[in-house]
Amino acid sequence: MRPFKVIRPVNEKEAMEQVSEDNASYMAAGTDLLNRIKEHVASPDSVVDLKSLPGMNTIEVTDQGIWIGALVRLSAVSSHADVLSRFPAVCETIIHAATPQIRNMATVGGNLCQKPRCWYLRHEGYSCVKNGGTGCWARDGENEFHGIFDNQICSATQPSNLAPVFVAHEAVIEIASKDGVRELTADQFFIGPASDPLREVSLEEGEFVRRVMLPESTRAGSWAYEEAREKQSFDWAQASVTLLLDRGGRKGDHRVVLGAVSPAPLRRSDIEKKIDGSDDEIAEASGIAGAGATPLSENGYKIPMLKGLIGKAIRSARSRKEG
Amino acid sequence: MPKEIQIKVGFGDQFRDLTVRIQDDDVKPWQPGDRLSLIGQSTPRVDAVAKVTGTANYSYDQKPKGMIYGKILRSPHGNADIVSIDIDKAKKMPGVRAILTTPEIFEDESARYAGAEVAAVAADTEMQAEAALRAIEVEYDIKPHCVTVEDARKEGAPQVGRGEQVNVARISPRQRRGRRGSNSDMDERLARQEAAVGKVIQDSDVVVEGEFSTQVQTHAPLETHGSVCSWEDGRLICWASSQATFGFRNELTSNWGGVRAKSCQILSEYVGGGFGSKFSAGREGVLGALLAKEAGVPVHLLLDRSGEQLSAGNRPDSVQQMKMGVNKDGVIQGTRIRSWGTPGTGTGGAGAHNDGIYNIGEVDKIEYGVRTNTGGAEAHRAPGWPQGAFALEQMMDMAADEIGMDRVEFRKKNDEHPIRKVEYDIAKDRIKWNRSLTRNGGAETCQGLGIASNLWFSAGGGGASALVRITKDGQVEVRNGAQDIGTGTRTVMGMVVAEELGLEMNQVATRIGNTDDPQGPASGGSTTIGTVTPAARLAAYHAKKELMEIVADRKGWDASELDLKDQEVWRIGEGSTGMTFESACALMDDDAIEVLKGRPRRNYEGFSDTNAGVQAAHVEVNQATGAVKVLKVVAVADAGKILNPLTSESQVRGGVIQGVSFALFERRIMDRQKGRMLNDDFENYKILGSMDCPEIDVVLLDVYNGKSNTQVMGLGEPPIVATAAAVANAVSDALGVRMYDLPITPKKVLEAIAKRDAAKEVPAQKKGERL
Repeated sequence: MRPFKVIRPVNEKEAMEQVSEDNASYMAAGTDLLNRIKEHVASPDSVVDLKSLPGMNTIEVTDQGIWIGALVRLSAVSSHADVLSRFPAVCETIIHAATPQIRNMATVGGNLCQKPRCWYLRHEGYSCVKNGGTGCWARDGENEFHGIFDNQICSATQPSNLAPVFVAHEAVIEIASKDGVRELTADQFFIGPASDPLREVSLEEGEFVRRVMLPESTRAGSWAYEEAREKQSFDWAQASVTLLLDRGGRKGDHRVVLGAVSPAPLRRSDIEKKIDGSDDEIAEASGIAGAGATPLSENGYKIPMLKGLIGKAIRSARSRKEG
Repeated sequence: MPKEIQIKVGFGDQFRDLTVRIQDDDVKPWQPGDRLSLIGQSTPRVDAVAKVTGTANYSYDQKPKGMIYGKILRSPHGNADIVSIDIDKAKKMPGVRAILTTPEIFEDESARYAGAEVAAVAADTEMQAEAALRAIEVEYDIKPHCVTVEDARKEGAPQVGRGEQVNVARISPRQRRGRRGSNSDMDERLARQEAAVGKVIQDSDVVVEGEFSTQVQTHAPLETHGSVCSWEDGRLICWASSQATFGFRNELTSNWGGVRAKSCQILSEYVGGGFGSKFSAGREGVLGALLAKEAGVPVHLLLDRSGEQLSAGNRPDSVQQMKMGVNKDGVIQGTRIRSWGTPGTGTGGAGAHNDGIYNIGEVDKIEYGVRTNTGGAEAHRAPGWPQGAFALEQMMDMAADEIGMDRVEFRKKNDEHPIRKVEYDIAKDRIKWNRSLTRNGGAETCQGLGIASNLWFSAGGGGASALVRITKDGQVEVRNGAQDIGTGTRTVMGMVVAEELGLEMNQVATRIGNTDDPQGPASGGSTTIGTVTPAARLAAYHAKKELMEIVADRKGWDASELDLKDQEVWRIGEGSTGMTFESACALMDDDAIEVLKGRPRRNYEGFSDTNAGVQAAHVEVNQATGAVKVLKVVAVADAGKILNPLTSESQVRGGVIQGVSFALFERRIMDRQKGRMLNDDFENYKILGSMDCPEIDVVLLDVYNGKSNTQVMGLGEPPIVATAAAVANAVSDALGVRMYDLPITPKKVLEAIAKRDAAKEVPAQKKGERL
């Protein structure tokens, strides 16, 4: 591992000043960054450790919703009684992420800002559009785990398990910025390679995530999270479906967000519309899973996989509601 | 002079009397009905607590005074020759104490795969060593590469080897060399065989065929390859992660190797897994020893995970084409086999044992090794067997289905193994073979059962001695220099000695993994316990005789009537004399009795030269997601006499776990563009985890085999042979479609389902063919 300097800022202003130095990087728990440094695909001269900042590791429950600090550990979110009772889908996605050990360390902010798991991107010596070069090695290479939607520029997928459920809940991402605090909705926050292939989230130079709000108005009448992967112990999703039904008590206000199949979480309003309580809603909804997909040589299986997951998710959410 | 003895051999209700000739100083094998206090009792590993609490010191944990760190620079290119290496800049880096290059040490300028060793650095810290590695400037002559069997078999494929070597070579039957004309004789013989077997198959009632493929599996031991080396007054002390301590030593002292140590001690007190990849010191072993010599201080050089995955060995992949002719009575008439597999850039075999286990009639089999620009293959737990069994057992199910016979009955019909015949019924019973399940893709979640067999053939061999020492104050120690890679050597060796001396387990100290102690075997071919324990028992038996003679002499008793039981001196047939073991020892004039005994070189005639084994798997497949969950594996195993059911069971569980992992998860993924391995880590090289582990129901048969005084047969390897085959058969049973390719990932399941459902609309599809 290449040596680097660790900086522990005492306030947000100092953090932003320090990270504006040449070749500096923010770090929360470091579960992603440190691995990338070890693999020589990231080589910051200095690391600005956000964990030293005050006030970012609390969960605050309000009438408007639940605020989750960016430094709150994943395991603290998934075991939080109010999150569990009001936003259970969030907890469900977390317990599918990584391992208990990693969930005990990794933070919400870090989870949102981790780099894609593309094995070309994470091997030194593969220059591509995502690390400042051109092209995509996966297109003509090993792409079994890559995306099937919006994969023309870069076929890496958004790795965060929280990303789809945050989009589904229209979570508000509060960002610390030079000019103060700004807010984005989750679907604005996660971006595809067309806007900027070097970034997966719309954080500008020096910015970092302060906290995230799950709005009370998007609490689901029922929900499901279904994901497929090879191993049950510690593996990444090959595809996932987050389904919220009747959000905020509004009948028909559903959300279907697909994960691990595209560079940003993919909301599918076409599928949402098919979930109408009719007898053939499962066939109708899952039947269009692959609409718009452009699978690569090895990942066409993700279409039937999504169909299966959508069917499971609808059944699961419907039975939860009745039960 | 051999002596003749009468023994009983057999198992269960099948015993017979046998007259065998055994080495004249050897002790009679334990007999049914013998009063044994430890042998056959589940006994926890003596080092279990040390291992699970982290106090056991593996080679990786060693830290001799002044130790520094070694690291290896590897070529990033799929295929290259090294033109020049400039180490000037690296030499001046902070902390650097020694730099070696592989062209200089191994006289090899080629770097034929991405991961090939180029240079090695020793520096005060790991970070300094790594920084120096990155400062070494290497000029490569980059050549085209091929990293898959498919690519290497293509016409005009880049040549992997140097000189005359071609990519595809027949490895069996072997091409003869030197004798003029003999190769065309061989070609003619093969052509005749092909025609004859072809006719047998054609004339059979039913013909089934398929092409099966398996993946490259790396060994992935938790402790990587390498060693900690320290030169002390010209002697090399080497804490090595090795499954062959004496072989490792001989490599480092050999006049042919790069190290040529005049004297060398290998210490492998604990080994974090080997699975067949740790017989040799390897380039990392040689580089570690030489770096330590050059630096003048001890060097820690154990591979990082990437280096381990790239260069430390793997199980070759396979493509197996099989065609089988079967008559309606269930008897297999003939089988045609063609197979290909890659040893990478290594020299190891890449064959698949798909013609063993059953009688498969007349056989026409040709195997090819295919060189690729990938890390060299090494023996991997039952080399060639799991991949061969996978293809063979799919064929067995296909044939049984085709003639409408029960899949187990069909196997029995073509199997003469006396033990396996019993094991089938145990496996059937434990897996509930006749239960009703939602099979053939009948629901979103369906289930299936599969069965497959093991075979093995090792009762150990010569090449081991044991030293047993009994001191005047009653201390007992047994020593053998072999290692324990999971075999339970330390524990079982102690049990055998304690049994012979009538002692408790905690009264016998054991020392293993030290080449200053008596010679022991490499842990290969599942021979360690079968080789070490007869030597240990023999040494203990003779030490006991010496002690009984001292007692008899002092007490005026007859030594031939005395024995040790329950920590006391017994008169045979009568009971205790009341004299304790300690007071017997106290009668010694000298400080200790020391007996060194070698294991008889040959195994005796016994019940069976092979051990068997049957496994049955119960799986659940989710047709929506393609997920396969192995619910249960019944593993019926036999390995001669079971000395310690607990460690034996653990061997079987380990085999099943690695087998399920092979069936569903593990595979090396190569990028054909740059020729590099993409999953040289534990994130994307997926190994079964606790939540993926099935219930494992182990049934051990205790076989009085008679082949040595402890009657042990090999158990490390056979339990992995059948697992993937049984799982694959169960998946096919659940889905109603054959799985031809390992590992069985969700992708392949979903693709198979899609093809199955498409084929349902085309009823003309011929059965037995690859869909």
